[in-house]
Amino acid sequence: MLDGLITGFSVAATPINLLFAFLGALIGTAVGVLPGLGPAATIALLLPVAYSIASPVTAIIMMAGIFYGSMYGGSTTSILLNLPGEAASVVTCYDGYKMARKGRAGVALGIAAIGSFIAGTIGVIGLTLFAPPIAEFALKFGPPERCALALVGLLMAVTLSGSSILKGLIMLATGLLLAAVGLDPISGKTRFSFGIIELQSGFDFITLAMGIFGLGEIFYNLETVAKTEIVTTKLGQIWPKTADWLRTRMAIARGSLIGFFIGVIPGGGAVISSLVSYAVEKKISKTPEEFGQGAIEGVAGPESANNAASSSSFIPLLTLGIPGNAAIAMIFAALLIKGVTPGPFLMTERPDVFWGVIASMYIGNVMLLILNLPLIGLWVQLLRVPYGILAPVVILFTVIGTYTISNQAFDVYTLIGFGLFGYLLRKLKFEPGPLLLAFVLGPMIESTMRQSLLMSGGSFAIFVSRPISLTLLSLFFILVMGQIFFSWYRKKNRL
Amino acid sequence: MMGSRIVGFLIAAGGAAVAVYAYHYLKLGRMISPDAGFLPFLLGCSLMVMGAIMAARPSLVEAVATALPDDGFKAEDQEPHPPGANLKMKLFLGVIVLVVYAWSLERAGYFLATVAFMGGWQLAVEKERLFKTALITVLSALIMYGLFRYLLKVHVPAGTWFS
Repeated sequence: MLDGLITGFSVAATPINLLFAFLGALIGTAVGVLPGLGPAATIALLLPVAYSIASPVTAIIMMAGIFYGSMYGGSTTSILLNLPGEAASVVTCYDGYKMARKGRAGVALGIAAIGSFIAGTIGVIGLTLFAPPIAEFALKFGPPERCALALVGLLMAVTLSGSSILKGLIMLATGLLLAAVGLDPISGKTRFSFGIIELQSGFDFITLAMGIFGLGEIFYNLETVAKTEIVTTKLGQIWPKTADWLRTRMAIARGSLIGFFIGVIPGGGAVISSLVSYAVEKKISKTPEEFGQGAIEGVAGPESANNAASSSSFIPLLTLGIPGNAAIAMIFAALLIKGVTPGPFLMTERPDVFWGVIASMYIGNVMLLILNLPLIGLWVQLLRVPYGILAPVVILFTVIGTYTISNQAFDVYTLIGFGLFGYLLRKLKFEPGPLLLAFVLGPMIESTMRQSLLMSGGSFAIFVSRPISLTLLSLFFILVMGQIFFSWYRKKNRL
Repeated sequence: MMGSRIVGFLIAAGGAAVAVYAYHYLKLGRMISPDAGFLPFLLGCSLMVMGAIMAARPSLVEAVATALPDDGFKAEDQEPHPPGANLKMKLFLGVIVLVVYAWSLERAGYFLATVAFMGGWQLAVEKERLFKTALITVLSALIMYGLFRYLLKVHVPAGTWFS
């Protein structure tokens, strides 16, 4: 492991990789600050750039930087403007903004940044420790286990995402269907192309991701974005006092652990971990009445949790080849574009990518700490860019990014189609994340399912007769039943 | 609730169409060696069932919602503040400007198409004044062209009208 980490640092510390880690962290923070443009949309917008970067390690280092950078950036506007830059920072508004109104904006930002740094680093240490044994274990997986794992991962992403289960399942089925468009790799038949030549190779991931996440979000915001008033809040002292440290040290530690373990679960991620951390801090606090009125633990815990989760969500991707959320699915796609298949073989076949990304996260966390506090003024200024200019510029990026995939206008029309589809999904409260995950994992699920049926002589019992796949399915069953039970119990107690 | 019913009905109809297409044209194969239509058929059937549940009567939906936590058939699922006609028109105009941009991209070339798009967007969607529109349009088109053409070295369409 130590050898691997040394290899990783030798890769990540090259000038070009340091530059791209810095760029990723910078773009990520900016994205976290700007409401209406999440990390998944930004990574989607930058996927064409990944094409032009020669080294896969460099491309992934930049995208990982955007992902965890956005978690840092989200807290800034939550605290200063009561406006969460992205979903994981919603809970930070509760106490962060109240602290700012009491003249403690600087301390809130300081503790958020330091907590994020500590948690992010703990998350990466966990990733370093847990990823190699999981990858080694996953080498024992055959087609039934891989199929069961991907299905369980997708179903968990649906059940834990916090939105409607039924709508999530519909999205999942739609994603798998969209992945089936084009040439069937086994029989060679063309599916759902209806004579359109451009559809014979299926939908391109970049077009789909940029359409649903990038353009769809812009279309939706055209109807919803109101002009925000920038409120200037005095920052005051940034470095927390000893009393603040004493109050928050355990909140940061708990937030880091909560975030790390929730982040590993597909569908868990930063949003849930920050909510759980806030609930835990409030529950165990001796002064719960202070929560919502400017309790510093209410900022430190959730901010630590969402950063730890963003680090640990790389574990299923790097070790099992299962992306747990939409942003990680984009990174998964970027790896595939660069000819690297994430999964158990990654550590042995491409140690430079595996360890390079991990090592870059240690460096990226330090960069973010240095970046975040001195540039707070700049991030607030960024909010003054009118949406009327930002939106068409982002559209120009999506259009040219899509056009360059195969230099044909058909892809741009497809992009607009997916954009309208993404807009409709948002309007009808369908969460598009599971669709994207299913689209990414669709080909693997189909091929492993067909291989498994061939192995078993056509019996689905193979998924429950092999110990690993049975364990995976049982775990999923227990989790769902547990969720239903707790939901029922809560409702009963309320009644 | 009516919106959910219509959407559910459309999903069920779409699922049925997929299942029929997969069964007739792609073929299901045998269990031991499934053909190209096997998975799409399963997915089509699942969508049919899920769409039917969504479109079902409120009493059934409530029963499902009780069994499945946070099922999503809640009051807040309905549009709380429907956007005004102006905002809907903004979206419509935005899509039209974008479709025109896609159409003109290969014909007029990247630079001219981008100028037309930015100008069209600022005037039609954002309702900006002429001077501001001209300034934003020229600056953004030049910056984007320079960024893609020279910095990122991306192939941008030159335009068939001028070749």
